[in-house]
Amino acid sequence: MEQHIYNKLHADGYLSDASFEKIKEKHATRLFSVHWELKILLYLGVMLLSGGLGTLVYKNIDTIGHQVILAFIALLCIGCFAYCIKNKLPFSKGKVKAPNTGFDYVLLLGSISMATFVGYLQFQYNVFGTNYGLATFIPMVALFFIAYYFDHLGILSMAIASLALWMGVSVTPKTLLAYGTFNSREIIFTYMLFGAILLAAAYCTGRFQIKKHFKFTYHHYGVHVTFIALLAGFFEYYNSGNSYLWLLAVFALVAYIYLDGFKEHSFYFVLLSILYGYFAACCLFVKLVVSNDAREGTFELLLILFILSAVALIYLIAYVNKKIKADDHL
Amino acid sequence: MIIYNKEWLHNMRVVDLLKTDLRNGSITPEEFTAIRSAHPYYFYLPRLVIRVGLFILTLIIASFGTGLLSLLGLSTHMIESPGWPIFLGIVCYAALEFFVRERSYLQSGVDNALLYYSACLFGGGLIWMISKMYYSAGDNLLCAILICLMCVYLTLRFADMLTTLTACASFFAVVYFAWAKAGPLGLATMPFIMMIAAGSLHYLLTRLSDDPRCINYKNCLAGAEIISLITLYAAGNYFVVNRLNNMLNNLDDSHTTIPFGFIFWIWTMLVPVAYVLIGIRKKSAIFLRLGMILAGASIATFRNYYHLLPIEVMLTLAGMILLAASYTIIKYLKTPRNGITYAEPDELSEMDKLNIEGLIVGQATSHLPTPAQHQTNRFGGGSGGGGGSSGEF
Repeated sequence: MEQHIYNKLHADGYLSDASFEKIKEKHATRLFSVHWELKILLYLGVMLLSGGLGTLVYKNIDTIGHQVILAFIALLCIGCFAYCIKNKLPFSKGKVKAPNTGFDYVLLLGSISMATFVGYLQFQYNVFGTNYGLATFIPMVALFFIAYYFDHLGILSMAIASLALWMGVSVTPKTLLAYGTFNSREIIFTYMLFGAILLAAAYCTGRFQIKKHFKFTYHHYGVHVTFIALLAGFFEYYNSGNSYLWLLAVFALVAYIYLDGFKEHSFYFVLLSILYGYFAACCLFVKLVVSNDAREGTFELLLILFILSAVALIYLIAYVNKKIKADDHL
Repeated sequence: MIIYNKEWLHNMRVVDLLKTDLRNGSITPEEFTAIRSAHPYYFYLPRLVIRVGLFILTLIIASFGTGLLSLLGLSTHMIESPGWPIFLGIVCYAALEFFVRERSYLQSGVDNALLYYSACLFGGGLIWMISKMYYSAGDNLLCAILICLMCVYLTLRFADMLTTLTACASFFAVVYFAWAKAGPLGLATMPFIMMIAAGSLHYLLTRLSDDPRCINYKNCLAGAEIISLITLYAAGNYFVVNRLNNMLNNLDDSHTTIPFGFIFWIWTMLVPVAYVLIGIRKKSAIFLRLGMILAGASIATFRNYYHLLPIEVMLTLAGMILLAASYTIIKYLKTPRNGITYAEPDELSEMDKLNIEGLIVGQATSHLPTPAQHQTNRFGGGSGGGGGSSGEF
């Protein structure tokens, strides 16, 4: 079929003889790539091996002893970082490419074993005593440093997670939703602060041109955490007059994210702002309509409002799509 | 039969094909622009993120809309009959036809949402109707036949992947329920019948994908092929056959023997190997990947019945073997051999642009527990072991 298309294009004069020959040659020598299959096997091997060794050590801890394990983890960690420092490309404020394919994974292994080492010390020997803040603070600072120094997005995500840990919460949208820990106001305010820090970090990253490609990660976590915290705040204070303030904050953030996404040509963030905004608008409708005494037809009115606003948003999305289609970002 | 403009589909295929040639430098940009303007297509093709947004919003509108209609019709008792969801499904389908025809949507999110929603309403209504007719659990065979016919129609009309997969699955359900009518003999020979059905479906699909008339259904045929290959394996998998046998004969799961068990053991072990070999031989990614996944399934099946080694020894050994094997193959394929290479494929996937890796690492590591909240357990959760063993076993 493909050959058929090429022949026709060639016959119609769209393809020059030189190009036609080139394509023919490319197709004759086309190779079947097993790159991803082998890579997955490799990952699987690492995972099985580490899982198996971990279990082995766990079951034989009495004969091996904690010091040996600690020393092993420390050695592993030091070895990884020594390799990375030796092979790394010089630091720059822009994007630095990894020198080879293995580099990123060695760095990741080093960082994970460092975190494990600190955690292990605390578990077994209680080094930091009851000073839990310090126990999470040190790995966090180290992770942020590594992320910037070696330019690694995955470790930046780890660092953000450990920042959240240090602030007493666990981040990533999945945990936020799955554990549903919005019962106390303290947690909501912590989340909000955390989200605000991330958004500020994203803003500064873009503004001062330091590792600009980190912005997406900061922004991604910041947007989700802040929106969810604000909406949780709204529900927490649902019965007081303050609840409108929370929604106001949501809409302000929606406007900010929307404009920023537009400026950066990022469909993803525009879409996020639209969806969170829609949810907040629905909350507002419910609050406005239901807070009066329940009358006939309230529910129908709500449904009509929901539908109309969703239709309006579809038009908005189509408009956004047309407006920034020219650009190639996500 | 297909709703989309066939000429546009053809033009899009040509342009997509030439895009790869443009990227690896076989043709000049001038040639590409000339070909592009000579092969116009006007589908509404928003990018992935926009599609997701449109899909969610359309689903919201459709469900609230049908909810509103049901609410209005509440007093008339119309909604208590299965005709109501069927009616709503038809309304949704009409909207779908309208949008795709008038607005030239092609997998744009809106049409996907309407397609799935109308199919669910219509199919649900049909099942409801049948179960009402029989005053019992309903007739499985009739349900499966109707769902299969509906999905085949939708696939032919919209060339959608999900409806293809459902059509395939319901086809096998039809075979199963029909053969089960044959009584004890039917149940005893069920695995073989399913194998034959899956094998012949696969044969038919490969024949069809060579047919130039099916050119617009290439993806659907590939999806159906995957389902039929999985069914072919599962029909003879020892675990599946054993459990099904126990279920049908009202035995509990302590029964681990089945008549002619050795046939199924041979099948369980050989099919994944055969798939991998066929994949390498025919250079087919579908066979190769399926073979790899199903090999894992076979090992899990085997371990379910025979515990030769303690789990940690097995894990360590398996990990070492895998590492050694993949490392050797990578070394071996450094220079391409027999048309197979380790080099990365040319085509960039959408995933690559999405910083996926960073997010996944974040997801995986954010569950590291805070140190020292539960001091009593010795190893409440060091991240090292957790990183390796959490998802796998």
